Amino acid sequence: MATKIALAGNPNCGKTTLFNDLTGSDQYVGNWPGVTVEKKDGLLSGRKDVVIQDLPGIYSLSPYSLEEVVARNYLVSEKPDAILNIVDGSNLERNLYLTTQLLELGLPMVVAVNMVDVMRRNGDTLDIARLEKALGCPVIEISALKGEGTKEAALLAIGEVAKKRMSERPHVFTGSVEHALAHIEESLHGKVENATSRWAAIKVFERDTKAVEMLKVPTDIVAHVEEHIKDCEKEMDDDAESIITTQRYAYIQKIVGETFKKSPRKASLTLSDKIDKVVTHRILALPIFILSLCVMWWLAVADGGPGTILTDWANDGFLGGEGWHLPFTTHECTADGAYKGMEFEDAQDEFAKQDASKSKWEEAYLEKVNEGKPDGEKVEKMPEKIDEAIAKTIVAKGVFVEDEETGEPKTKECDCEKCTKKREAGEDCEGCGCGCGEPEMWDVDYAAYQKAAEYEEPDPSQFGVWVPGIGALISSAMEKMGVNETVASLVNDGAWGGVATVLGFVPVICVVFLFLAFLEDCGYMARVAFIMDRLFRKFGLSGKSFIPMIVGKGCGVPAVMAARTIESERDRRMTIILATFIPCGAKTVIIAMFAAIFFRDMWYVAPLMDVVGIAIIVLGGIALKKSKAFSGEAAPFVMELPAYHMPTFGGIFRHTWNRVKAYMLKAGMIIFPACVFLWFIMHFDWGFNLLADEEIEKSMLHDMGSWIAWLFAPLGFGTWQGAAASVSAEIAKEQATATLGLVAANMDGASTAAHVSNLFASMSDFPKLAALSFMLFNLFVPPCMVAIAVTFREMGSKAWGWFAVGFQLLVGYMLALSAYQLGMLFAGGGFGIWTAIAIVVDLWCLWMVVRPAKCKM
Amino acid sequence: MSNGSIVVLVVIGTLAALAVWRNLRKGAPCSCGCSDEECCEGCCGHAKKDS
Amino acid sequence: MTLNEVKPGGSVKIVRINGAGAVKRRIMDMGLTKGTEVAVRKIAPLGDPIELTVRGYELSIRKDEAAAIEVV
Repeated sequence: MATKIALAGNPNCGKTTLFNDLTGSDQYVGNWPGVTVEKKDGLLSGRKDVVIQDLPGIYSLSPYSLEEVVARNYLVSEKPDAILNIVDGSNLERNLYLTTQLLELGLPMVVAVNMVDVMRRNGDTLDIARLEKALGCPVIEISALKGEGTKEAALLAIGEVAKKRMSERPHVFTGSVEHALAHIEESLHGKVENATSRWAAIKVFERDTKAVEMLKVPTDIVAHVEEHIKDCEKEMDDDAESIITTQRYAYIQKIVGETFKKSPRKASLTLSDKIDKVVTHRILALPIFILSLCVMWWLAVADGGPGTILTDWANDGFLGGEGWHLPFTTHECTADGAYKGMEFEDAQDEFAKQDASKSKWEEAYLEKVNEGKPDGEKVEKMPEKIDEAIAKTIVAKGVFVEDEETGEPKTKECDCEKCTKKREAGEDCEGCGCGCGEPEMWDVDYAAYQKAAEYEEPDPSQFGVWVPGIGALISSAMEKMGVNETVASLVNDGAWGGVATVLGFVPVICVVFLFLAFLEDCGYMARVAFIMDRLFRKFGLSGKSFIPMIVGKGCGVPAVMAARTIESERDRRMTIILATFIPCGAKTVIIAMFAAIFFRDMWYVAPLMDVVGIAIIVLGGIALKKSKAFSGEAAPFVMELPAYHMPTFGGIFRHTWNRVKAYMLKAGMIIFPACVFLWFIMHFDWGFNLLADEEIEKSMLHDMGSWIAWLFAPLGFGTWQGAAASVSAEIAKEQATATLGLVAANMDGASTAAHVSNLFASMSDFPKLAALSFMLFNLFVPPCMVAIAVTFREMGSKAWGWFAVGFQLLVGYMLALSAYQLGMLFAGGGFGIWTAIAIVVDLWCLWMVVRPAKCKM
Repeated sequence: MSNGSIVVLVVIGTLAALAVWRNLRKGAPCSCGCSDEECCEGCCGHAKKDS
Repeated sequence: MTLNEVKPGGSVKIVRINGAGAVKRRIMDMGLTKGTEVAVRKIAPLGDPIELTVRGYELSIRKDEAAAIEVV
């Protein structure tokens, strides 16, 4: 039978760090309440017979919060063999408050004073021996962060188990209170376990009905004792619970005074205080919060920012696309030939020109050759032998290279000094006399054609170390194997294509998660709750409800579960409904894709999604609050604000890596099979016949999408593709990006980005608006199926689950509707029935938010 | 259909089936970042660590 | 005077805590008991809650909750 050691202590005392150190496992460390709700356990490193049980961080063993009840139920009913109580040495008094209560449980116990490194640095001293005597149990100094003394603390606890002797418990209570307690203890003799009798007596005195029930204290004793309790209350002019609490702290103050010497500190502020002054400043606090969000998004998706550079490389080179050059290896072409001495990009431009010349001339030639011929005899391809006579007369006029983005002819950019300077300064160089800014066009005669025909595509390996893209490698490998075109498409477009789309965004989510991990670990998050509390109180929640929303930036599932720490059921329900409106990691991928394709020049669209999320939470909360179901008093907000501390690089990287690893695993386990399935129903009709590319309209996916496409019509993406993508997003939100890549595969364009861009152009006259509307819809309707399942579970009732889903669906739809319809109105799309409906809907929402409350707040 | 095609189909089909089977058995991979050995939040269908 | 009336920078001593139930217990659990010295550190940017220094650490409570605490 394994020895069980329970780790108990305040939140933020370093308990989880100690747990990690003792068990060697990878757990989350957070600075704000609600991170650990359920208990975790692990084996002590090197000792298979010792189990370390981590309890939720608690300030007391009161019956008032879920974590406290969970902890004390465990300690009293399941009884660990020993308690290892971690106490924050820089915060002794409040930490020892729990210690006195734990001691009363009568279990073997060791007190580990943590943060001893901080104490030493500050010059504070602790008289261990004296403290041991006062508490009646062994005390040891540790630094969980540095790993100092941690193993010894565990061994001490194990030792206490062996001793089986209970040390003399401290005399915390005095006077008539002690008298009453002794009397109660006497009455309880034989009715409760000897070891717990002290704690039981105190619980009876405090009238803690939950504990009394759990301990099975006979009701006649409770009744009998009531008189004594009332007498005490009269004498001390306070209620029983408060009497106990006050006496505890009085006792603690005394022993801390005797054992702890704080070194005289300079009056100047610590670094933590200085940071705090700025970050929770009256005027600067909110802007700073928004600014930090913007910085994060800029790093992640701004054109030219690190996130975009890496994602473009991943999407266009490494995963998709032809390939890429190793950085620092690019050089001018050294091989003999047309491109000698040129840089790769210039060589590509040159080839594009020559290729255009070739094709356009051939077109003109064929036109001439086919003149006068009836349709059946027209020549489609260039013959082996060219008719010299005709050829010499052909001149293709106005040849140009099409600019990928605009579709217009590429403009001239001359190299003269004046124009180069202007271009570097970011100015246009039109009207400068050398033809810049004008479409670059030229004529091609037979001689020019012959030269052009000799040009081959530049071989990238001549310009530097070339790494072929994985997609390109797979593609050519299949070609070599002689794989059938359709099957090849299953891999290129479906399986690999879908997964590559999602994986390509790893750099973006890396940035987001890195940022989040830093903010969480340094303690900023608690402050944000502090800043937001006033706002949240407006709709009856507390700043505590903001924390699940921060958690939600990573994933909605733990966010919904973090709502467990909210005591009031009504508040908890509201938090669950609202928590998933903050874009999670998967939704971030959608934002990243759309930012890259449609909003490259508008980097603010990305952080806007966060702002919209917060706005929905606030406004939605206010609206809900006004209904009968949610109205009532605001929940209290009593919260510790832990000091800031510099997070360790290791910690942040580990958290981020965990999340990124999970993301990639999800891509393989969920996105991959989903894409295979989607490809299948996209290429087969209902009779399971394989379809050719042009027959896609007969496919199962097309039909299924079309059945519901009309629902999305007012939103701007009412096509089978839009419908398919939106529905598939319920499997996993990032699937929407993969599905879009899939269904857009037979659009024009050379890359997934071009495909999707053209897809939206085909869906609506206002593609950017439709894209925005699509984003809004998918970001703010109910989250992925897993998160919905958790919502139902945490709500505890099907009715509430459906309410949550219904509410979210409504919000997402209305948001997308308003954006598209009103956007169209302003963009000149005219006023239609849906515009009117959108306006009515918006007014109704406004009314829901500003109407007078049904019940008193 | 060529041999190459058959190979590819079999490979893709097997991988997809494996992925689905793993999901059904172990629960979907958790996007909250925990791996299923240490997940004790019980999220995403993973077994809780102390059960 | 009650705690919510104390200006930032002020330092007071708790005389009595009114109210009952979970909130009162929570406040006391966190160290705000009769005779304790409390310093009001700052007020949140939106006007509420307030940040206190008590028993050597920072605690945040609402003005409503602070109103139940009589100080001198």
